[in-house]
Amino acid sequence: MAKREGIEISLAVAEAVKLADVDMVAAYPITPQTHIVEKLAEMVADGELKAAYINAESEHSAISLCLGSSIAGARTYTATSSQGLALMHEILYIASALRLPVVMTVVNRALSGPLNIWGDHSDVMGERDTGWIQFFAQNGQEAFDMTLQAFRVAEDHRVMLPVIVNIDGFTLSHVIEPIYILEQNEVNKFMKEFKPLNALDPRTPMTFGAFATPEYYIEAKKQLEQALFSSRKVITEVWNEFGKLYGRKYTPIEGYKANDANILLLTLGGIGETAQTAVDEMRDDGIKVGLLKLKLYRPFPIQELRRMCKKAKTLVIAERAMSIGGEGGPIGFEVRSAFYNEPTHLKIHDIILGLGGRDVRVEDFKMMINHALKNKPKEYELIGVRE
Amino acid sequence: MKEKIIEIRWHGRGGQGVVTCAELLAKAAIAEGKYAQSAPSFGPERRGAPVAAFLRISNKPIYLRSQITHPDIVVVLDPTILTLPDVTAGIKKNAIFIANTNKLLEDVKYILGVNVNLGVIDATKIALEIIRRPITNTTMIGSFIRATNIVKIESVKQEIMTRFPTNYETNIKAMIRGYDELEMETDANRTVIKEKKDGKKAMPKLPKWRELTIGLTTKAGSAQAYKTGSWRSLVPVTDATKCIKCGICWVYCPDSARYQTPDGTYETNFDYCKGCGICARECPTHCITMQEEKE
Repeated sequence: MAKREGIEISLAVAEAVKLADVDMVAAYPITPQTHIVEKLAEMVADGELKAAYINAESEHSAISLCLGSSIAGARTYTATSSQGLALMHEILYIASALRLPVVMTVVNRALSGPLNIWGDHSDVMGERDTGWIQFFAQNGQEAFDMTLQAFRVAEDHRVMLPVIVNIDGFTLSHVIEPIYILEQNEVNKFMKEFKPLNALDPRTPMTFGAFATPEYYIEAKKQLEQALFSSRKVITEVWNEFGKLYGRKYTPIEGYKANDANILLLTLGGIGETAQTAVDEMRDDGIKVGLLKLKLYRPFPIQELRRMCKKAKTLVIAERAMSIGGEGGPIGFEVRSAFYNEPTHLKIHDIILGLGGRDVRVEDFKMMINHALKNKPKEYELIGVRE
Repeated sequence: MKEKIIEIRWHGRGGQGVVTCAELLAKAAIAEGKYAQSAPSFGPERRGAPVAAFLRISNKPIYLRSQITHPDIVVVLDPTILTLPDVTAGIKKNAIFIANTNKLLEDVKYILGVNVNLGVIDATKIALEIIRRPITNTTMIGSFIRATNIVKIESVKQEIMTRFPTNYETNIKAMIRGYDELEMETDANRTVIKEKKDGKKAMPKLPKWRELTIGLTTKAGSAQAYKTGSWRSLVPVTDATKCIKCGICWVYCPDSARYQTPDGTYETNFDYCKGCGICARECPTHCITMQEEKE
């Protein structure tokens, strides 16, 4: 029976990694990811988790070690944040191109400069195009569940892709809240044995990471793109199976009071729950507002988004990253593109907020909704700035 | 009226000066007030590997950055690559084709399998006589000028003097001999052959994206199928009586083309040896000498 436990979310993620019985963890500690990897190191040192733990000399090395370990056929995990993720950048493309099912928790933190250790999504938005599957957790339970799901999705032979599970730095990672921690025997019903497609083995030598001339590169990218698109089906299957086993349902976009809403909010990560409270309060005031929580960012659930926005007149995106000089934020660009060729009159407001750990409150969402009801959308708006 | 851009494709092996040909002619044409553009075919080129370079010349500005797929003129600097499908790929009808070869004009035409307007020159012989190395670029430039008359020989002389300040004399001499000794078909003595299918040799068929292995993972040791011995213009000759079995040549060979024989001395695997000469340079007893490759 799953135990309901008051536990820090980082530690719950570490528990999930242990329950997934990983073979190798390579990481470099960085705030706010530290509690996850410290806990895993402790588990390995105490013999609780039978895995190799490598404290690498940098994130670039950590992710490179993960590639080697995954090629060798080991279930592999890492975690990082912010500058650490940026340092991994070039290797992330190689992980997906080699189709290695590495699982990584990104504890989202603002990128320097100015130096800032607090949460926003600027780090992971830089990795948008790396070919990794990306989940966004909105609470501790999702962080725990998605970590387990990530291994199942990644290692499915129809997928064979790396997965990032995003959790907000501090506002999720360092929060203690009640989480149902599954027992090992329960997890064993869900997890499957990892069988690599081609393991690096001296008895059957293979070439990994061969170079591709212009005659091959596009075909290789097409193969990767199709793998990422086809992973939708497997993600849905895994989520359905997870729901049947443990009673928690996952969808690419979770709607909250969204069906009859005139105006919809769209969020990623932990601010979704604060937005939910704002929706409840505004509903009490008679405003037909609803909420879409984006749980699956890559592959981007474009069809679900279009379907769930069908009845609404206005969509307000609340995102924690900006594309400086680009007239908006990355989610704003993508969502607007999704509707550009559609026969819709949906008004799209792209609101950028909560950068560098600036608190996002219920009042912020209320203000955004009231503002959007009265005003025409601009390219984007950066809110909370002292003018 | 659309201004004609003349498109010239150069083929050879890395180290023979293919790119230099296109560059010198582009600079000469520009100096004459024309518009020109030279570009190498970028890639992991190494000495001896088949390479190509592109040259466009026009009286009007050139607004093209693509590779030349339908050349008006093809120049081949190396006799051993005339059989490659690349040299005739996409070639225009009645294009000018200039080949460095010691074969007869008619024979070359049959090798190519296309009714090009052919010119032949034994540029390797000329280069060895004058430059003392099988670097044929300036000789072939001479033949090119003779066959096409697009650029003046005087303008190219200037460029050669700028480019090779210490050895321009031999290069100019080679160019003039290339100009004088080109054997070119005329309308009167043209050989017409029955062209091969589509007039072109088939280019290799590439796999579709679905046919690629997952993550491009392939069998190990696939480079074994890629025999690079044909890239060689110099060949290492080993005097086994001087070999002290130290294995230094084996360590230094960048292609793992040296191997130990049962008596402990070292020999060359000619399927892969590119003739770089590193073994000869490193051998402490000088038992390896580099000699000219014979057919």
